[in-house]
Order: sequence, then structure tokens, then C-alpha cells
Amino acid sequence: MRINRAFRTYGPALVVFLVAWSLLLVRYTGINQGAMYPVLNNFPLLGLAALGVGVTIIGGELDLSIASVAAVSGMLAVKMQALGLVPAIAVTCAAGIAMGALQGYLIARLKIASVVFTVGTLVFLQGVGYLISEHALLVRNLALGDPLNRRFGPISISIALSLLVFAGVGIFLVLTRPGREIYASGGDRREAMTAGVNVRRAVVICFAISGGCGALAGSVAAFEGGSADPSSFSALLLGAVSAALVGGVRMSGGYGSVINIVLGVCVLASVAAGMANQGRPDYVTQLVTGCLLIAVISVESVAMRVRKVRPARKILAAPD
Amino acid sequence: LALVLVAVTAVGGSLTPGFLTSNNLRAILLNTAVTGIVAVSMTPITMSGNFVSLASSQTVMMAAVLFAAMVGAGWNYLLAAAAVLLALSVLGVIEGMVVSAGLNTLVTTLAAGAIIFGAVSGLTRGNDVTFRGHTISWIRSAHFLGLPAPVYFLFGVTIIVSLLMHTTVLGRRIVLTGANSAAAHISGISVRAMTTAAFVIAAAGAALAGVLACSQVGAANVQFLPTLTVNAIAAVLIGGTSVAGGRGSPLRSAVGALIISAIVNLMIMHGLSTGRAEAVEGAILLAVVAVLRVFESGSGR
Repeated sequence: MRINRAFRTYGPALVVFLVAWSLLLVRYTGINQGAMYPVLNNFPLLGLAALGVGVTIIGGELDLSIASVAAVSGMLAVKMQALGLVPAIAVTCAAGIAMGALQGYLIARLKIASVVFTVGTLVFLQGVGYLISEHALLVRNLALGDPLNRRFGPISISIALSLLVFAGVGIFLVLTRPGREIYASGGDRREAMTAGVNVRRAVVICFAISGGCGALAGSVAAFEGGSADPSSFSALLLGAVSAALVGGVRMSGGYGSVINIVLGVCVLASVAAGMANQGRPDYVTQLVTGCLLIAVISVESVAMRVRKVRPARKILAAPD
Repeated sequence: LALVLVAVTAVGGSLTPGFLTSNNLRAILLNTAVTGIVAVSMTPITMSGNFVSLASSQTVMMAAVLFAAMVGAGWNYLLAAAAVLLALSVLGVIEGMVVSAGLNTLVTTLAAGAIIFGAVSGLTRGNDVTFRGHTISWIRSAHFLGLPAPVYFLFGVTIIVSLLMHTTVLGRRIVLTGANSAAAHISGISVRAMTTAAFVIAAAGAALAGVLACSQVGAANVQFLPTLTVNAIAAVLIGGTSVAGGRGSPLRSAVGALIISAIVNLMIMHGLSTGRAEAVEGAILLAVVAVLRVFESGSGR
């Protein structure tokens, strides 16, 4: 039963990933650093953004402001470069978490649809980005970001950092009470409330995680790239939502785990790496991502319907 | 809401020399035209309970590129506009059917936007598509009673969509679908058909907006009007249409779009950067959404 469940949870994403991965392997000759690095290197930016958005989806909300958060955080971090690499990133992340928590609090308190509110913060933060600077900010001492890129085999410090965050969030979601409450609030909010779950706290934590992830992603990317631009990361939202959903997180909330998000990021990263490797332009990746996204939510919708048609079996089966 | 607009105009007029001149007001109206048309025609989607489309920018871009390509190939511009309208309506039907099959609107339109962007980039190879000498600049230069032609299109679309939503059976059914889709279903209304109809209205509006924007500039490419999606959504929300569906009006979205352009115009006339204007726009949006929400929950119970 356990294996069956694990397969249902991760199977589809795993299959897609293996297909994408084997397409990539056609180009490279074997699983080696050469093929691993381009995939893993997506974790600091796309991965963290997907993690943030994914957690809000699991909590039954949706954070559309992640790309703006990342852009502003990048600007903020570069602005504070005089503090040094680690303090600048840490302060930015703290700001991101605080901003996210505030956003979550307002959404939960006012009972606003999170989509509406985060569209507002999306516009607002974009403006704040331009307020910090109209033009791209440059990292003056380019060596400042070098530690992030230090490689140990296929893993760099920034990749390790992002994987650490993944592990931390994963453990938090699965093993702690507030983490489980996020699942409960995402699955069925009314039931959760009746059962005494602190839904407001769950929503606040969701958005705090999302804000923190966005801030970390933006600031690390800014230091790695040596500059931050208020208009950057325009395609990040698409990538983040796609990664979470392609990996098997369900749009309806309350379902999916960090492992799903990891799988989703791997799929998208393999696709992007494969396309880039064949010399295809960037827009083809977007096209494929869009198609994948549609395909995944169609399958989910059909699966939901099939499950509804056979309610008897659901009752007879062991409770999930 | 109209009071807000009047207040903005009055405060703006008294504090800003040159704000109330006819030239400036005309510029505001002209700037509102494209965003306004998109916002107004997207309102039925929101009213039908399907949030908003995240693909408006790409849809309008596609309409503009198509129009430019057809006019450039020597088509009569009316014929080209009709063809664009037809093509986009088909797209609207597809999007509407996908969404009404039970897929999340936001994710679907996000994906649709990416697919459209990818496809158009592939076809145009990222180049500009121009009219190649077939000018239709009359649309830019035509004035009637002192107002440029696109402004009349905005008025026209607002009136048509408002009448459609408030006085026709179709419109009332779309609103009921948004207010209570279970009740609509029980009373024999096809929720799918209504959702699809809302998407077709939005697509038709996007077609018109694309054609207008393209005729003003004379060319289009894949990077055409990138901020349109967010601005149109902002206009709908500032206008006060309820995202839960069932309440709102296209007219309010038009006013919302006007308020945004008036404020942005004011800020720029005061020498503030576009970034600052955008931050203020976002702040206003957040405030309006929060205040409306408080009112809504106050009167609802």
C-alpha cells in the first residue's frame, strides 16, 4: 500500500523526468558532472522560487508576487554589498521573510483571495524595484560573489545552500505541527478550522517561506550574476508554478511534498538544458514549459473526475 | 468610484499646472484606450467567477503581430481586422473550453501566455513585423470632436460590453454563473458555455486592442506591451469588480483604467519617475482591494 501510494504521488513526475533526462543523455555520454551541473544549477533560482510558490499552493493559496520579490531582493542585496556577501544575503532574506509574513497576515486577516492581493504586491514591488534604482545595479567587487560559485564536483555552494533550504522546508512541512497545519489548511480549510487548526498562522508561515525563498533566490542570483535589474526574472513565475505543478503538487491544495517540487525542477531544468544544448532559442523552452503545464493540469483534472466517478472504491480503500 | 475619479481630477487640477488642459486630458484618454479596452473586455471573465486572464499581454501582442503581418502582406485593413478577430475568437473558445473543463484559470492562462509567446517568437524570429508602407495612420490622426479615434473605440467597447452584461440574457447568465455556479447549473444554464462566452468576449476585446495599438505604432513584435496584463488586472480590481464573481461591471473597469492613467500622468507631471508611479499604483491597488474586501464582508453578513 505504501509503495502504491508513493508511486501515485511521485510516479507521473518521475516518468516525465526520466524521459526528459534520457533526451538530455542522448546529447551527453553518460551521467556525469557535465550533465548534472546544468540541471542542479537551476536550484538556486528556479528551484527556490518553485519551493516558495509550491508551499503556498500546498497551503491552498497562490503567491504570484514571487518574481517581483526576487527582483527587489536582488536590488536590495546589491545595494547592501558593502556589508559583505553573507550579511547582505541574510538581511535581504530576513526582509523577504518579514514581507512575506506581513502579506500572509493581511491575506488571512482580511480573507482576501491571495491571487488578488499578490497581484497587488507584484505591481507594488516592481515599482519599489525601480525606486531603488532605475537602472541595473552592479556588484562593484565581482569577486564578492565568487564563493557562491565555488564548485565541489557538480555542486556549488549556492546549489548546496538551496538544497539545504529544500531539506529544511521539507522537514518542517512533514515533521512539525505548524507544517502539518499547512497541509490541513490547504486540503479543506473549513474542516481544518473545525479541527482546531490555526489557519491564520499556517497562511502566514506559507507566505513567510515564500517570501524568504524569493529573497534568497533573488539575492544569490544577483551576486552570482554580478548585477541586479528591476525588470529581471520576468519568466520566473511561469517556471516556478510549472515546476511545482509538473512535479505533482496539486493546484487544489493540501497535496504534494518538497520531493515533488524537486522532481518538477529537475524536469524543467532538464528540458531547458536539453533545448539549450541543441542550440534552440530561449522561447522554445517557454513554449515547451507552457505545453507541459497544460498537459499536467489536464491530467490532474481528468484524474480528479475519474476519482469522483468511483466513490465506492475510495471508501473501501484504506484511508489516505 | 466616480467620486474618486472626480477627486483625483480636482486635486490634480488644482495642484498641477497643465493637468487640466485639453491636450493633457486627451493624452490621458489616449493612453487609457488600449488598457481600458482590455480591462473592460476581461471583466466578464472576472464576473463569471474565473478570476482574470494572465495572458492578456500575449494575446494582444499576438493580435497586433497578426494584424501587422496581414496588412503588410497587402490585405485590406478591415479584412485584416476581421481575420484577427476571428482568429482570436477561436483562441478564446479554446481557452474557455479548457478552463471550463475544470482547469485552473490562472495556470491555464499562464501556460497559454507562454505558448503564445513561444509560438509567435518562433514565427517572427523575434523581428519587428511592420505594415511595409501600407499606412493606416488615419486611425492615429483621426479626430472627432477633439478626441482621437481609439478613445471612441474605448467608449464603444465599454458601452457594448456593459449592455451585453447588464441587459442581455447571455450577460445575466454569465453573472449568475459567477455568483453561484451551482444555482446556475440547476436552473439549466450551461456553466461551460458561459465561461467560454466570457473568454470569447475577452479575446474579441484583445483583438481590437491589438489592432488599435498596432495601427498607432505601425509595427509589432513579441515584446509588444509587456505590462498590459498587470495593468488590465489592476484596472479591473481598482474598478471594484469582485474576484469571487457575480458582482461588478465593465464600466467600473473602464473608470479604474482611467484612474490609473490619471494618477500615473499626475505623478509624471510632478517629475516623479515611472518606477515611483508604479509603486504608487501598486499601493493604491492593495489599498482598494483591502478596503473593498472589508466593505464586502461587512455588508455580506
